[in-house]
Amino acid sequence: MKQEVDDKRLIASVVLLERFVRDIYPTKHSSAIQPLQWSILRYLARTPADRCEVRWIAQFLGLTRAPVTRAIATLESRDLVKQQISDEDARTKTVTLTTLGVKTLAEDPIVLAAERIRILPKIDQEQFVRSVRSLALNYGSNSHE
Amino acid sequence: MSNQKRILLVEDDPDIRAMITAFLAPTDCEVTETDNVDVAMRELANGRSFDLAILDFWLGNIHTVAIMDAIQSKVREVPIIIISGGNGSMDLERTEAISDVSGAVMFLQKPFRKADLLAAVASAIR
Repeated sequence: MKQEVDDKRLIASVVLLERFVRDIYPTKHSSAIQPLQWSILRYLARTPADRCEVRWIAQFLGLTRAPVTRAIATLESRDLVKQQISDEDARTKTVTLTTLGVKTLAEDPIVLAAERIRILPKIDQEQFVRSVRSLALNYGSNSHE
Repeated sequence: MSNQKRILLVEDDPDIRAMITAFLAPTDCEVTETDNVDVAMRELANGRSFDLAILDFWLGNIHTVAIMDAIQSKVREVPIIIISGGNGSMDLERTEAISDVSGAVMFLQKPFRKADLLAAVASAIR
């Protein structure tokens, strides 16, 4: 009986975790920015310009270039990023955030989620951080593809 | 009293280790290098003090999170720079996040340039 209760609690906690993550992304509209696209916006915001090329972004995210190229094209069509021919190599394009991209990133769902966690007691925050780190170390496979 | 900074460098690729050591040579820092988690842990357990740690996240299939935790448990704050080119089982986005969670002050994606490393070191130990 005890084992059943423990299993039920564990599964329920994952349901809550999944809902917590799902709720932070405004996915009610098909035009909503997708998690991979948010990852790219974040990368562009804190990476030197010469590293903002598809190959570097793909390496960082553990993806092939094709899905990254598609995601960047979508972001560009929404005026969140722009692509320019590299000054050093005409075969490559560097990707930068537009003004709208910077403004959009200020509403990054991850930051909003962190705000929700920050209001928890310090001990709960610390347990949360340690638990997600353990999960990531034990289950580190790529998930964007 | 010497003002020389001491750096713990943990990297399993001998070429990259040699390159980092060469990059750091002009800074006049004393570099203790190893390719092994246990050796690094022993250095820390023996009370050896460092001003900075530069850790490759992956030494083969072994991560260096235990070293980060050991450094974080020290009374004296020691900044940590994580370097990584990834590993088949974990992308760099996740690797960087784990590094941040574990107290790293900087994450450098391999391959990096001398200027990137020196800027990171200067920022970490200023």
